[in-house]
Parts: sequence; C-alpha cells; structure tokens
Amino acid sequence: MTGYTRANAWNSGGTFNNQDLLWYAKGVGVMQSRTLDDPNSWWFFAAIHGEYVSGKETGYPGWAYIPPAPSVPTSPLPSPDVLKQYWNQCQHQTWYFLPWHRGYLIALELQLREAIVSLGGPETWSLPFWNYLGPDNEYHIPPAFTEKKLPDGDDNPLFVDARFGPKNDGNIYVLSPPVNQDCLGNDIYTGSSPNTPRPGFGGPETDFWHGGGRSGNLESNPHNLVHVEVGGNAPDNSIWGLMSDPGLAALDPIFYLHHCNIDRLWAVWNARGNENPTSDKWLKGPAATGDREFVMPKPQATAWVFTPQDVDAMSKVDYTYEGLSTDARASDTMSPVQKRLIRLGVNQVEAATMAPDTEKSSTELLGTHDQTLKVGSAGVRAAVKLNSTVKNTMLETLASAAKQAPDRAYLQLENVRGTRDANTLDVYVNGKSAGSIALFGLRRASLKDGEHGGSGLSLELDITDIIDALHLEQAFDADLLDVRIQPDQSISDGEEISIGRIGVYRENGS
Amino acid sequence: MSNVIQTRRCISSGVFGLSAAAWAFLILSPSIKGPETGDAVVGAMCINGVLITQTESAALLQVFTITNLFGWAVMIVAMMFPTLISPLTYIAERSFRHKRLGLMSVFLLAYLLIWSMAGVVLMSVSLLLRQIFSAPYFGLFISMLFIALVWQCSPLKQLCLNRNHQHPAMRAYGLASYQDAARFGFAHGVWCVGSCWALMLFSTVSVVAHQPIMLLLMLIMLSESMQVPRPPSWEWRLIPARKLRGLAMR
Ligand SMILES: [Cu+2]
Repeated sequence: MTGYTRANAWNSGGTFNNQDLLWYAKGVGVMQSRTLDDPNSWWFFAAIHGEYVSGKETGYPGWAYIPPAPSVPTSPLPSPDVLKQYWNQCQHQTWYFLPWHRGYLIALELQLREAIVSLGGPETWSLPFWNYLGPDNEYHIPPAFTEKKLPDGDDNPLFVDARFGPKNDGNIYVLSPPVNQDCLGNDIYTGSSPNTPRPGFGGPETDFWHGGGRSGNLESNPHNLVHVEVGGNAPDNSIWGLMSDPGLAALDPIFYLHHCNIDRLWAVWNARGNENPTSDKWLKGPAATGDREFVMPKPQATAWVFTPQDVDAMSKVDYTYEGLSTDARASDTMSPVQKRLIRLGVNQVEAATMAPDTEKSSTELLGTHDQTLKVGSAGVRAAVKLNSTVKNTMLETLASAAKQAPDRAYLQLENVRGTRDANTLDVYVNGKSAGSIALFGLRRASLKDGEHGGSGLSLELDITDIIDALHLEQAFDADLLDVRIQPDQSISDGEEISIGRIGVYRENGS
Repeated sequence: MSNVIQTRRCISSGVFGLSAAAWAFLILSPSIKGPETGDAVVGAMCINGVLITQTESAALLQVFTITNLFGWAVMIVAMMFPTLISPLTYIAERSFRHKRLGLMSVFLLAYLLIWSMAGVVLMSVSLLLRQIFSAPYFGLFISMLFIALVWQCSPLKQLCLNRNHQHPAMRAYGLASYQDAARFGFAHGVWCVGSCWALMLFSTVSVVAHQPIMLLLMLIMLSESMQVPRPPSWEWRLIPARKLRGLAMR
C-alpha cells in the first residue's frame, strides 16, 4: 500500500507555490511552538538525532549559543529516563545508517502530517525531497528556505541563520563535483565486490566496536559532503553551520529534505535490483545484541520501536517517491568493473561475460606514511612508502586482469581528529585527484568519551583508478606514492586537523 | 562477508581457544591445587584459592612464588583474553601481513605484564586484608563486595571503559611498529586494570563458589568491554543484563 508520495521539492520552482513546502513550513512552525521536553516538538526531534543541550557546553555548538533564527530552547529538559531512551540515537558510520534514518523520517512525517491536518492542510501531505543532483537549478536550495517571511507575512520557520553554504557567504548550493551519486553503481550493501568499493553501499557491519569510524559509500558521498557544504562556516569563521554537525543538523529544516533524498537514493538502489543485508544481525538491529533500540515518538507521544527489517523495503512503508520507476531504469549499460577491465586491456566481449566476483575478499596493508600529520589551511604533502613485495603482487593482478579479478586499492586517512566538521579534504595521489572527503562527524569522533572512544575517523578513498592509470602509464616504479591533502576551507590556528597515519591497502577479490 | 568481520572471527576463535586452554589448565593442573586442607577449599583449583589457603599464616614473600605468579597470569589469560578481540582485530587490519602475528603477540605480552604487576599489588592487598579480618572472612567478603559494587557504579569506572575503546595510530615499519604494539598493550592493560581491579580483588576473597564467581565475573567483564562508550557518571551498572542476553543470542 502506497498511500503517500514524496515529491520533488523543486516542483513549482521550489517556492511557496509548492504546496508541499508551504505546508511543511506551517507544520514545522507548529512543532517549533512546542517545548524542548515535549516528544512531539521540533527540538526534541532534533535531539533524537544528536544534541548539545543536556551536557555542559560552554560555547558553540552548545544549543544555548546558536544565533537565532530559530531561537532554540534549552529548557525544560526531559526526565533522565526519557532522555536516555530517545536522545542521541543517530547511527552513522555503520550499516544501520539507512534504516535508522528511514524510521526517523517516517516518525517526523507523522508528526508534521498531524500538525498540518490540524491546520486544515491536505491529509496526503508528505515530506518533499531535495534532489541536489537533479537538472537545471536544482543544485540550489529550494528558494522557500531562504525567504524570511511566509506569503501571509509570518516568520518563515524554514529560514535558518546558521546556514552558510560551500563558500561561507550564505549562498546555499551543492557543488558537483565532488558531490555525485556514483554509489548507485554499487551492487553490495556491505563489503566489497568488483563493482563496489568497501565498505559497501550501505556501510560497514558494526557491533559494539564503532572505532573504525568508516562511512558507507552513500553516506560518504553524497550524504556527508552535502551536510558540510550546506552548513559551511560563518564568514568570520567563528562558528559553523547547523547542517555541518550531527548534534545540530536536525534543527535545520533542510536536514529532513536532504535525508529524504538519501532515503530516495536507497529506494532507487533497491528498485534497480540490489539487495539489503539478510543476516539477522542487520534485520533485528543493535537491540537484539543488547545495544540501544531504535525508538521514535509517535503523535500523542506513544513510543514506536522499530528494527531494520520493519523498514527495509518500500512495500513495508506507506509511501513511495515521485519518479521512482523512471529512476529504477539504470541508464548505464556497462558496469563499473566492465569499464575497468576494458581500460586494463581486456577486450569488450570478454569483459562483458566475465562473471561477477564472489563477495569474498581479503585486504592487506600495502604501505604507510607513519608520522602524524597536522593539516592547516595550506594543506600537507606526504610520501607513502610501499612494501615492494605487496606492490608487485598487486601489479601482477593488474597485468593479468583477463584471467583473474584485478586488485583494488584504497587510501585511508587514519585516526583523523579535529574540532570542526565543516570542512572537506581534497586528496591527490601522484598529482591525480583521488576525491574529496567531508569531515562530518569528526568532532564527535574525537571526543574521548564519545562512541568512538576518541580514536577519530578513518576516511577512505578508492584509489583503484589511480593505481590502474599509474600502471598503464608505467609510472609506478618507485615504492613511493606522493599524497597531497588540501582542505577546502581555511583552518584557524589551534584548529588544525591531525591525521595519525596514512595507510594504503590492496584488496584481493579472489 | 566483509573481510574485517572475517579477520575478527579468526581472532575470536584464537583468543577463545587460548582462554579455554587456560581454564582447562586451572581446573586440571595438580601443581596449583591447594594444600590438603580438604573441604575448606572448594575453589582450590585456581590461584586465588591457593592464595587464600596459604595465607592463614604465610608471610608476604611466600605468596609471590613463581607458581603463584604463573597461576595468576594463566588466570588473566582465561578471564581477560576474550575481551581483547577488538584491539587485536585493529592491529591485524592495520599491519603488514607478515608482521601481524608478531605484533599481536607483543601487544598481548605487554598487556599481561601490566596485569601481572597489578596481580602483585592485588595479592598483597588481599593478604594484608586477610590479616586484618579473621577467618572465616565473612566481613572481608562483604566489604570487598561493597567496594566492588561502588566502583562498578562510579564515573571513574566508565572513564576506564571508555579509554579501552581508544585505538591509537600505529606505525607499520621497522622496530617502531613493535614499540607501538607494546605501547598499545600497556595502555590497554592499564585501563583494563582500572576498570576491573575491584572485581578481581573481590574474586581473590571469595573462597566459596570461587570458580562459578570467576566465570560470572569473566562474562561481566566481557560484556562490559563490548559496550559503546558513554559519558562518565554515577550509574547503576552492576551486571549489563541486556548485553549478556545479547551475547547469549549470538
Ligand atoms: Cu545526515
């Protein structure tokens, strides 16, 4: 049953002529009028994702220090039990990222719909999505979010002050590149395959140990990048935007339209025939092994406890996406691995018939840069020393790509720590661009009493194409890789990002 | 299956194997059976039992025999090694294949060294306490239980647990890689002693049902090591029952 259709926020020009946006604004207004400790309030919902209001923050990003609009309340706090049950649940850097956020959107949508209907709005109202990779102007934030007033003259609840954009000038849009949806070419939810770099489309299998701090491919790009581009930093660099930080992000109404798009991409990926995990551990969620359950307040403050298997298919939820069936028809006729094999000299017919590999793979360290690096505004350059035996083994698999699956290569920035998420690192290997990594979640991962135990994040890029190219250009003689890391945004003194080690890994698929 | 999980499963079987062997040794080995005091020593199969039966009149030096220290180390292998799956997986993932076994061994030895040093202290304290209290040590048992309970609920305990989730960057080349593995082992050992000393001290004074108590303590410590870090505060966290149930379901 698909009672509701979530539509493109850019319909009717993304203005308040789009009824979905107009009613969204009014619904948000109703939720914002409720108190912090009311499970049906906008503030309570933001805190479910993450918050800096129950602790002892003495400055930004403490909620007390957020410049209005919106004026964020800091009291009354809910009871400790309620707080423990609901707040700070968000699942990042894990394979639960997608199902948890799907349930979160469903719960918010129920709250908003109830509020909208009570105002005389449409009973079929659904959350719109912002497809920043859509045609024309759609890479811009829908204009309704930047108006200070609603058409009727009231304050616009969708307007947020601390939203600075990729150039920190209040102009909100998404840069592409680096933002893309290449992850739709993956064919594995967790793990790797010839078409899927690790840790897979949906994220790594995690249990008690979140220390890896590694985002899934959809989570890295577009999710994390869009967060920090939309949030950005204040022009004077004093604070960062709400969207740039998981403990602030859900206060900004654009958050839910971004996540609605992420959820849509998951639906598209499934509609193209890709499967979600089938293991009990994923289906039953972390609660089955003694960790926190996924729980959301429904209207009238009843608790909805759910697991990934309750939301892992569009047939199990009561909404669908506008354009889903069109998007489900993949446009590319050649898979990523076929393109790669052809580049490596395997002829097209053979490449097309080569069986997709098994999911079994093994990874080993290929080389490192062992010293800790400090990244300031000027960026940093480091030599990664490779183990020649491991390197030669890998090069052999590239040379005989027709016979066996050629290795993949990854570059990992390890134990990355810092105090500000609103930045992106552009990484170059031997002068070739290896991609960009957003630092979304960095601050929390660096806190000693946070869920990563202060180990920081591991940021990984698939550098297979670069290694392939070096191999083809016969420019890969030395046992060294030249890595350059350039931050997108300036970094103030004392806010340097530290990188514990750079590691390069080979992954063998056979 | 992702290969990280594969590596972890491999390491799990390794540490559980070592732990099982250590348990078997503690139960079966005649060399560390207590003296022939008969029914008084229900838990005589393990080093703590030995300590207790010996110390009725023993001097401090007599307690620190090679046998006792060895027995203590075996007990640490039995009770603590299963909690080391996550740091060991981390080391394996991030080191050259030919060095993995060596680095993991260095980590384990460093970790054992810290616990052995803690053992000397804990055994001395235990001995001292036994001279203060008198047999049948009922008062001692109750006091140690109380101390263990208070420590379990304290913010410091949570802080130690959190630090056990800290995995430092490790150099991969040369001698430095072994230094880093040792340093990691020492640090992990220190935070582990910090979070578990009270339970271990309690176990040294529980003569009755000593073995089942040790087994229970092992399960508690194992499930604690699997919890996600949280802000330190006073909290009622005696036995992580939900986590234990989760473990059983796995
Ligand atoms: Cu997000």
